[in-house]
Amino acid sequence: MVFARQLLTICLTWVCVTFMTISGVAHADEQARASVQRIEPLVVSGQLLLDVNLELKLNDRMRQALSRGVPLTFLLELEVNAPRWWWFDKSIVDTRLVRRLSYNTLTRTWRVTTGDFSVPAASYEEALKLLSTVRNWPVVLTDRFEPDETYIGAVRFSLDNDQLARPLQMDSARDNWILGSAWKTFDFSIRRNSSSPSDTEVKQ
Amino acid sequence: MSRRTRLLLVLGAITGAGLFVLLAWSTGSASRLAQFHELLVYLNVALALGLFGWVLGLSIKLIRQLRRNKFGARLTARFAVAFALIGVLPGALIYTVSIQFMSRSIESWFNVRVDSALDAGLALGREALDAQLNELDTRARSLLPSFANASDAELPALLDRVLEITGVREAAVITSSGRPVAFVTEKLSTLLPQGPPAGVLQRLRLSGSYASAETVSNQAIEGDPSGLILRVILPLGSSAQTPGALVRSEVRWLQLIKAVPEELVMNAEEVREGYRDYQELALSRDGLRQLFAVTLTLALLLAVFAAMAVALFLSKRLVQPLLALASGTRAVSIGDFRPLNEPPQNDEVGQLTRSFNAMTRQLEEARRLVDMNRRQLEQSKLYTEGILANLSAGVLVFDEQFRITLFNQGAQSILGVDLRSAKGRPLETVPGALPLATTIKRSFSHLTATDSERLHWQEQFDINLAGDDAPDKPHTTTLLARGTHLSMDGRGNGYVVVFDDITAVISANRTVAWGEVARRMAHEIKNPLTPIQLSAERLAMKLGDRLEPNDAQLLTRATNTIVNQVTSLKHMVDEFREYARKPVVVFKPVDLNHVIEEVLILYGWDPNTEVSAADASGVLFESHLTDGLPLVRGDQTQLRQVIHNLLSNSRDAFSEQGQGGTIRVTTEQINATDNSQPAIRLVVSDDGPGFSAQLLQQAFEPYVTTKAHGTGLGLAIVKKIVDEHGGYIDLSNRRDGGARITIVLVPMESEVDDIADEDDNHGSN
Repeated sequence: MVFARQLLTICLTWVCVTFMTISGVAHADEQARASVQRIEPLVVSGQLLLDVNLELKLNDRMRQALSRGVPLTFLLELEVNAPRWWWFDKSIVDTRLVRRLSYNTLTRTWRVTTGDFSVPAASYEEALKLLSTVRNWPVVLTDRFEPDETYIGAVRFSLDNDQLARPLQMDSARDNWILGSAWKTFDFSIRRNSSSPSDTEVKQ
Repeated sequence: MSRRTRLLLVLGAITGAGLFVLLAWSTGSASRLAQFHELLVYLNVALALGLFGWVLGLSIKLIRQLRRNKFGARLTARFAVAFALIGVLPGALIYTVSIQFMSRSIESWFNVRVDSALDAGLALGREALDAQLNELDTRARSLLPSFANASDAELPALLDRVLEITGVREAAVITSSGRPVAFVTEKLSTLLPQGPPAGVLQRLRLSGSYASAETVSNQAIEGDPSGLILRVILPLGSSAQTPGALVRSEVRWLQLIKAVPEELVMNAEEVREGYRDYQELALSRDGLRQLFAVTLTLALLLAVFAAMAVALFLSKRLVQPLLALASGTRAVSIGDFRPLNEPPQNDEVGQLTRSFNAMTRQLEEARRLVDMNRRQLEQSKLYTEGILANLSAGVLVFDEQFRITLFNQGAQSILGVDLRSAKGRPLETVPGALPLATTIKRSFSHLTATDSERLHWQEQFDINLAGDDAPDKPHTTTLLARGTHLSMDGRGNGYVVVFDDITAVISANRTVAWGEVARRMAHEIKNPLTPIQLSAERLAMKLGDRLEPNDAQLLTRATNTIVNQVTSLKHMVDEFREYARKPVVVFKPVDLNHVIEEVLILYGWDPNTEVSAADASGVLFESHLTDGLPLVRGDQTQLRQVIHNLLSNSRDAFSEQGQGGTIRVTTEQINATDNSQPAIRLVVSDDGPGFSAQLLQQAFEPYVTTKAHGTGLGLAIVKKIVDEHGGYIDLSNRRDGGARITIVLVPMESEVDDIADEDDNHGSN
């Protein structure tokens, strides 16, 4: 019986050591950062559009992956809630914009793809600028909103890990592949103009 | 183990195995389960933890049982360790090898040669594209002079030529703002030239020309299967030669777009994708290693814990029938013979259990037999003890030191002492038993001293015992005792003495002896008496006249004395003869009541009142005669004498005391009980002084009397007559004072037996 107990102890120690050595390789270099700088909602022909400016900085690991032709997928998530004092806030909009940053090793060009539409960029900086500027993002039709009612929106920008290759997801230095901004909130209300369909929005 | 537990276990095993298979599947990057990989890892970890918990629980339980030295725990532990080793060691070995193998092979994938080969491939692709681009650029440049001084109207024709010469897909002249001036294409459906990408125009102003391979973003719209185009933009120079033109300063550009050959594109793309995949893998080799390591470690943990759990569980199950057997053995040892539950399997353990049950049954049977024998033995012992207790003879058993170990009721009643407190003590300590003890010891020592061949001694002796009624007046009892050594288990370990009160026997012997003496005496004495009397009378008659008056007077006195004494002597001899007379009895049916009445009348008894008047001394007679008694077989005269003797005895007893009293005569019939015959009882009782203890012993012997003038033959004759009649007589004292004489006679019906008795009597006398 004593032998069995010793065996168990040995097994447990071994397992612990294995885990530690595997995860111990982790080393974090320069930190990747993302933050939402400016959000500007506007209404054009009955549709809510969103202009978002981001500040974005990728770490060496990501840049390395990109330069070797591995595409990275980013998500711009938007949530709009109507506050409810008696229950959780009512979710009105929950949508996301998928942007893909890739480098063609053959033609040595950068490219930012949004849906079916892709924009080439001559350099990494240009591509990053393209990526971090969102113009006229059609979110939803304004008739979803009650006029003169205040809504709270929140925007977040992040790297979509699910789109990474499996081994990359499992990378021991997981921090290398984590990039996400904090939720940036903004509130707005729709003022319905009786004469014209174009409406104005109130910012923060 | 219940059916439900088994089902749960099987389900758990299947779930665990399934979970692990799913995890293994999900490690493949192409798997659809890939997105659940993390969840699966956690689930498997949870499973492993659960198994670990189970193992821990079972182990703790086992250890606790070991500590408490619970029966069977040691065996279970040994089994468990063995099974666990079988499960764990190979698992650990395979795990180690796999981990080593895996890290080595992953490293080997990413060697320098593959790396450089891919790099070279990519470079080759780029070179190919560049070559195409250069060729296009050179051709375009060679065509540029033909555009010099060409008017706007000439441009389409020129462009057509370019199309023909260079084989491009599209040729256009655009302004510096990107507006097309002229446009020719192979594809008729296209109305507008493909504009240069944003930013290119700005760069054109700086660099002066542009040549690049481009990826077409939307192949469907462009209708370009390859997805790669070559775009060359060259300056056409200013159109200053055109007179009258408003915008003189405007710079024009020639744009040529050519599709890259499909084959080249495909190969290049292949290389690019391969390169990308490889880089992806190379970037994530740690991740890969971790992926496999986690999966393998989980596999090991699951296998090890499952093996240990199964080992603990199985060992318990294996040991269980053995434990059941062991507890059964224990139960048998404390006398519980219930059979064990027989396991349904027909394996060795099942057979063992069955044979154990068979053995238990046999044991139980044997024990039952032993019990039965013991009970029978006890019963027989009780029976023996009962016999001993009811034996009229006294039995005393001593150990080597003459301490009493056993006695019976007979001994107590004969000795008239209570021996219950004397058990374990010498007989001498019992009050009044000292003579007996001395005699017994002496006899045993004599027996030892003589070294006789006989095994027992026999001694007859008298001891004085305190009477029941008068403790201060001891009476003598004759005892006949026999003693032997008690020999059990082949060695002497005590003494047995059996003794009996033979006073009555001796008395009877005396009676017989007296009868003989009396008969001879009567015969010898009576003969000379008559001549003596006649001689004395003759002396008186013949000499009376011749003598002096004084002498004559003396003679007369002397002869009278002689005659009187001889008469008295004669009378005595007659009585003797009467006692010793050979019975010449004639048995006839006799009405006992009638005989009693006849005798009672002589004593002044009145048949009407059944009571006599008190006579001078104050004694009266009373009768309680039962009517309708069966006739008694007997001699009327002798029976009359019996009654006469009894009544006169009683009356004499009163008269000696000088007081009055009542004498009661009772007859009744004793009904037949089981085997005894019906009988008639005659009781004569009085309220006088009763018999003394000494007299009770010897009353039937001749010459034993308390009377001043009695011959002492009265009761002896009564006894003799009753004996001759086949009845029996008993003397006793009434509880409330007075004597009580009981005579039991047989009625007429049982004549045959009595005649036989009579013959016996004749013979013995």
